Amino acid sequence: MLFLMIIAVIVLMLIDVPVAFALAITSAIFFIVEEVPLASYVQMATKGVDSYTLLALPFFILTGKLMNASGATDRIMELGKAIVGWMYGGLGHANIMASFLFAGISGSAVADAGGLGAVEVKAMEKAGYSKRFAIGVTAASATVGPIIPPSIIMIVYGIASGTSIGALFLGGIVPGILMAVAMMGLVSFLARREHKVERIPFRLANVRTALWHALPALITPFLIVMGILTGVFTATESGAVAAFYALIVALVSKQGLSLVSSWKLIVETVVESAGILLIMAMASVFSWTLAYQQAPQTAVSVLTELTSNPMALLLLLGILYLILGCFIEAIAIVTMTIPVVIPILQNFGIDPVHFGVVLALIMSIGTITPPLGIVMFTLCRVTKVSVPMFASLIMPWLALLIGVVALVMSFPELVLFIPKLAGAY
Amino acid sequence: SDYSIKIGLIAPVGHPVEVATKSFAEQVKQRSDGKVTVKVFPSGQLGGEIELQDQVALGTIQAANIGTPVMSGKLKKLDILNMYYLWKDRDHMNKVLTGPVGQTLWDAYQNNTGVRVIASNWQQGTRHTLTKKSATTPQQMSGIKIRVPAGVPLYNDLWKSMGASPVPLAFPEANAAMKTGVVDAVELPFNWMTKGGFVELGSHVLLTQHYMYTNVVIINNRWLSRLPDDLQKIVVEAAQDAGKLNTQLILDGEKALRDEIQSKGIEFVDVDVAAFEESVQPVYKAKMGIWGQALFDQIQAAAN
Amino acid sequence: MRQTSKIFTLLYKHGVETLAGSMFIVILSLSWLQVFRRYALDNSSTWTEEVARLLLVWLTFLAAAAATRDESHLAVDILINRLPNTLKHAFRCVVNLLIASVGVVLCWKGVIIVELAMPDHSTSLGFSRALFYLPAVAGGALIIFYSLVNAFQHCRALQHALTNTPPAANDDSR
Ligand code: NA
Ligand code: NA
Repeated sequence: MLFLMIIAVIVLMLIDVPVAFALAITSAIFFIVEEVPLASYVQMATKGVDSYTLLALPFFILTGKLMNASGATDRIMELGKAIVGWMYGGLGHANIMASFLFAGISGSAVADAGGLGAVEVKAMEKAGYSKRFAIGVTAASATVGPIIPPSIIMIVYGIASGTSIGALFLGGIVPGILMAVAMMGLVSFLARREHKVERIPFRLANVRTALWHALPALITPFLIVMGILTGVFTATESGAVAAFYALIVALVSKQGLSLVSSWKLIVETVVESAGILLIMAMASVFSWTLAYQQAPQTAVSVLTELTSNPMALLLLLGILYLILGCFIEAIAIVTMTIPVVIPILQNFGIDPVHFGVVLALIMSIGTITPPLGIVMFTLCRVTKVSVPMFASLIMPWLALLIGVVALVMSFPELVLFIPKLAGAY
Repeated sequence: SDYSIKIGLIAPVGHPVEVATKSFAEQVKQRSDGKVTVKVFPSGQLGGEIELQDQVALGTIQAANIGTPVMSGKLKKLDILNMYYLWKDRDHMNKVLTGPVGQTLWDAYQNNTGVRVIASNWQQGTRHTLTKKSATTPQQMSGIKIRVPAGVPLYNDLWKSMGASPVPLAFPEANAAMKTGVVDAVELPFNWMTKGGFVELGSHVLLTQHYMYTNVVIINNRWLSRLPDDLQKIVVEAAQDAGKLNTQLILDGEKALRDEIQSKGIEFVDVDVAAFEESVQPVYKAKMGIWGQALFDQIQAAAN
Repeated sequence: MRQTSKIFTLLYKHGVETLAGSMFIVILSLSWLQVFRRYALDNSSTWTEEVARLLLVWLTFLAAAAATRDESHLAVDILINRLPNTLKHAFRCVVNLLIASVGVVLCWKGVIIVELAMPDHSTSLGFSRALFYLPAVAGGALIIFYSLVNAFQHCRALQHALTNTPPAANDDSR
């Protein structure tokens, strides 16, 4: 039954049924076949979005949009160029640096690819970099978005698993830095093949100016992290504070956001958030049908029979999620499966914060993997590159990022170090 | 089997409620010669207590084990069971809730919902206060910020009258809040103090024993009445027997947990319970209209 | 007469998101109030959270209906984009009918849970808990309406393509 349901979801999605409705239709069929009253269906859908913590999601989406509208994207790119542009493969490094900084104001990889991505690819191609290289760096660096706080997928995981979102946010910092460093290493290596590239000279004055311009944007992540670190506010409250701050910045910035355009951004935020929230609503109905079939119990007994080693289990789950991530949207996967997985983690004594950050990494990688990666689609659309070509150019980056996952998986302290230090965990 | 019961609970695996529910399942199967089987859904897999209650009413599942606090949503009178210092002791609570006063309440509840209470003797752990400093009277609670469940004004009112400063917070944030000093205290039964990792964060357990309550087994009455009489009897009796087991497990657990907490260097403080009891009386006065003086008097009368 | 149709178009195209956007502004203000009160006045309120949650549920189902109208829900369109125009419209028509069926479940079965929760009072403000389930009913009804309109438009486009007549000028179907 379970297997049939997953097939049904994928088939529906392939014929262009939106993700939320593919889940909704499959679950409805289950209810009808099993003669379960559909009123419970509506109740579980509502329950899926009836959460105060979930408010953080639209707050952070609005923060990102406001920051973009006040020119943060360009300024962050300029800052990246000024700091690391002089290195070999300079724009590649700048690209990663920019995504790393941008990650502090946005909660998803798609926001990076859709906003920053188009600018980055254009700039790199203009400077003489190959399309393959430009798109590879841009796609890979976008995946740092949900690892550095804020992070939408961590919010979703935190709610589904009952884990502190503050601790998850703090746990993403070290892995995020690791990703950036690893990717810069790969840039240095790959850049040797890029011949006709102009170098950007380093000037301290440039850094100073760029830093000054980007400062309002850079304060956002600082505000969020410090707020959570010191316990001044919860993750949800930090979202409200960040959105408030971003609104002030947007209203007083040089471009000066008008009230009309602010309203437009709010409507955009609402519709975009509702899209994600509806996926969560329907995925939680789907998840309920899994529980109704006693999938958690089955999963625990099957897995405990398979292995008793937590590391082996972590690896197994990692591979499973990587495969799922290639086909189904991340928020849907997490909402659907986490209620099943949590008892397994408890049985094996795996830390839910450590697992959450590893999961965020894997789900983030899932956005750039063919055949159904959402960042991949976004970039293919803006750069007019075919999916097979993308599939070939992304391979070295995928290998690198999976390496980072393996590292973070093996050393829980990489994740838990900062949350423990802050006492938030 | 001829009949099958799906029973939902929010208690995790290993919790006395879950252990006793498994025993209920076994007993039902055994006593009915396999004619009735029970599938247990622990850990809130099928939803929280509000959803479980509605699912039983709809017939999505046949039964659930829920705490009395959530039931007041369906019958306002039951709000009295949310009050602190309502019971003189556990016997008092048991006498009222399994006796005629309780039955009148459960009948009214069934009238509203079509859901029948078949066992009301699943007592839960007494709640005490874990703090970072000692206090023995409501006066000394002044300035202590205590976490209360978010969105329930009653708990706010109660803790305010008990002298503390209540801070409403979602449960998953409570641990971090205690660490970072957003709150200085939490009010929990012993098992949650140890399981949620709270013990290490405080220094004193104030034995405020402010809250005692029970869980109940609810069942869809339409479904139950379709069962032959002998099978109905088996299900009801098994639920009540399992309730006794649950209460025994809870009480045994409290003793063991107390030793465990003490071994971690936490000091137990005997507080002036009478003074705390006195301090919440204004809340009783303010809320009397909700459940009525008559019910309150009946409960009081049973204390002696 | 033209005035009425103009108002109708405006409502059709912007009505739900205006409502949802206004709700979001209330949520945002409440959250700021909450943070401010907690740290400036050292007094946190219990009702802001409940209202914010309620509005979030409303916002979800209303704005999700808007996304249904615009056919902008997250979907995988790689296969369908390779089909010829006629087939594309045929598929989109079917997809919209499937979406409408979900709307039917939400709206029709939602009424049952609304009725069930009607007498229940919420924990904080004491309003009826049915208000939390009403959004699914309202959103479901809107989803039925919008997806049927979409399906109809795709059908018409399909018909035009089959009879080789160019679609009408005001046809804005995608
Ligand atoms: Na981020
Ligand atoms: Na980038």
